[in-house]
Amino acid sequence: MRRRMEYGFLPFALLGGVLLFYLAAPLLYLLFQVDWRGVSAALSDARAVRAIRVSLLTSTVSTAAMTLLGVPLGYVLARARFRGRRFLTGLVFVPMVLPPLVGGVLLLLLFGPYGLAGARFEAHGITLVNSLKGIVLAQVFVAAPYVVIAARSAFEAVDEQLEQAAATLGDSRWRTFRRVSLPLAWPGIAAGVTLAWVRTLGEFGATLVVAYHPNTVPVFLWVQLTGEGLSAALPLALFLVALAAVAMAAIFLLGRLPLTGTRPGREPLRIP
Amino acid sequence: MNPGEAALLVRVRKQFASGGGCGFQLEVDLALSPGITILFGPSGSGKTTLLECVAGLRRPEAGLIATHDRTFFDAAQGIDLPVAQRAIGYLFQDLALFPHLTARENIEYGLGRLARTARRQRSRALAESFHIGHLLERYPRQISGGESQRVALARALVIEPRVLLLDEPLSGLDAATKSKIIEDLRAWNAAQRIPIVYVTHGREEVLALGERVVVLEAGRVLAQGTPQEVLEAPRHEAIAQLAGFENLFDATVRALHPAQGTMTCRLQGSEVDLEVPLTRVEAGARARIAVRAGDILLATVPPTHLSARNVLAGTLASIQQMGVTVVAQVDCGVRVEVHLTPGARAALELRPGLAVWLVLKTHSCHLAA
Repeated sequence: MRRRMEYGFLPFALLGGVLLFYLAAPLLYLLFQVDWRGVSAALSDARAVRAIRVSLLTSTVSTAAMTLLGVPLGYVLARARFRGRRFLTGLVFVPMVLPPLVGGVLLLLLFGPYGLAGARFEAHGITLVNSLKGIVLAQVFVAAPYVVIAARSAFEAVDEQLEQAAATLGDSRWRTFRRVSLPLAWPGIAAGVTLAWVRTLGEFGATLVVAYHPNTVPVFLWVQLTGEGLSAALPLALFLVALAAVAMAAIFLLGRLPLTGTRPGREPLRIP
Repeated sequence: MNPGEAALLVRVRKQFASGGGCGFQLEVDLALSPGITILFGPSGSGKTTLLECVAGLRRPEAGLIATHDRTFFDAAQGIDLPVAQRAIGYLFQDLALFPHLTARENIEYGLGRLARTARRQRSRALAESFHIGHLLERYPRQISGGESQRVALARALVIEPRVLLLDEPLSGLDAATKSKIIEDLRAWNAAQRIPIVYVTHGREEVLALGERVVVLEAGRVLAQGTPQEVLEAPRHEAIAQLAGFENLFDATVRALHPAQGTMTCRLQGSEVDLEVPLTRVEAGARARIAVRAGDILLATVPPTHLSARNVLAGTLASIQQMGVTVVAQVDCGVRVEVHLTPGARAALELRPGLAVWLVLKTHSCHLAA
């Protein structure tokens, strides 16, 4: 059935359309500007390959770490009742509102060779700055809030009575979490994890400060852009756009994109 | 009753907030025997809070909750058994079936520590006795309301609970489905004999399944006894309203007739006098009179030679059928609701505007405090 928009929406649609065009135009234009024959050559360049491997490796490790630590935090913030819960929830948002560059500076301060934590690691021969570990630190700092916030709202959307029912049937908190809360909240959490994963792949500001070397794709893109110009940067840009597209598709498939207006976890589950 | 005789002892004090936000205190002391006890009261009276205290989902400020062999909660001794260890069957108002599990997986949920074959056996047997054996592989959203209730009930019972708590579990069901489920529950409990607490605000349910009823209002026990004792002769206005006394009149006591065991009351705002059973009041005192609409006789000619002391002349104001009940509103100076059968309506050719006479037996007029 075709539905036509109500005429009253017209002024809104016109204003919104301008923005939508502005958002979409650069992406479309990129597709016309890329020298497609040069793309595979540019991406198989040794430095590009290394950057891609660094990015994929670190973002995988970061995503695993954020999920392992962020999902429990989201659960506690959603369910536990304690003083200061609102404050802690606010704290999670801080890295999101902070400029990533500033986040990098803060990390450098603490984990740099002379920082309180960095010096301890240094004493054991572990250098955090300018290493894969440093990249992971930067990525987790910047992207973890996405996981925590998505997990929190996904757990909140799970009917608490289901957890109470599990408890009356003999389940401990841990078993309830594993058998009821997590399966029901999972689609919402997965969307958040996917979003966070893309965020780690694109992380630039904090990574630049904490670990310029080894280059991740965004840092290498910056190197290429400043060193060799726009055309050298385009294949890398295309690569990042493609990964973003993959993530968008994944989130759409999860059916949990916040754009669709459904709250994560609230919808009836897709049941095989 | 001393604790040794009661199957479930509930002595609870808890501050709680009802919907409106104005908090009040739940304070009850109940000794429940095996079998079904109805917890009856208006919404916000503390029924659910009481169940949650028994289940361990809420913690009372003071009190003792125990079965004959197990203490769930004892403020004095600092005992507060976690929900998971109480082995209490709890049927939630919204059922709370796990949407991501099949009916079978829902029923077997509480049997996690049993071997797979034993689980299958138990769930199969219980499902059969609750007539849901054929839909075990379906998900909750694929089965009807009544079937969901049965699954939820089976899930609560399969763990062989010490106590079963039912929070308005059948509120959304039609009468036939409801009574079938209640029959199944009765049959199950004939063998188990555990205390079952059944929360409801429906009078029919109280009369249909209660061996015993406890009336709760504003956190306190207003009355308890058999459904007949408590509901058929309401002493409190709250109970009268709950118990479905459609007619509640404000009245003033005009004269006492101790020899007859009656007194005459004038209904407020009218010239109507009713003769009602004598209670210990003074002439001139205020009273509330509760009369069930089904207890009133309606005649289309002036009735004579009756034992009934109250005959009120009036006009039929409106008449309409609701299910199998015909509801007539009669204007006698006060508005009186009368319930008839469709057959009576047809035989008397009732229509609005008709002159009618209402007959009320003295003992159908209950005084509500």
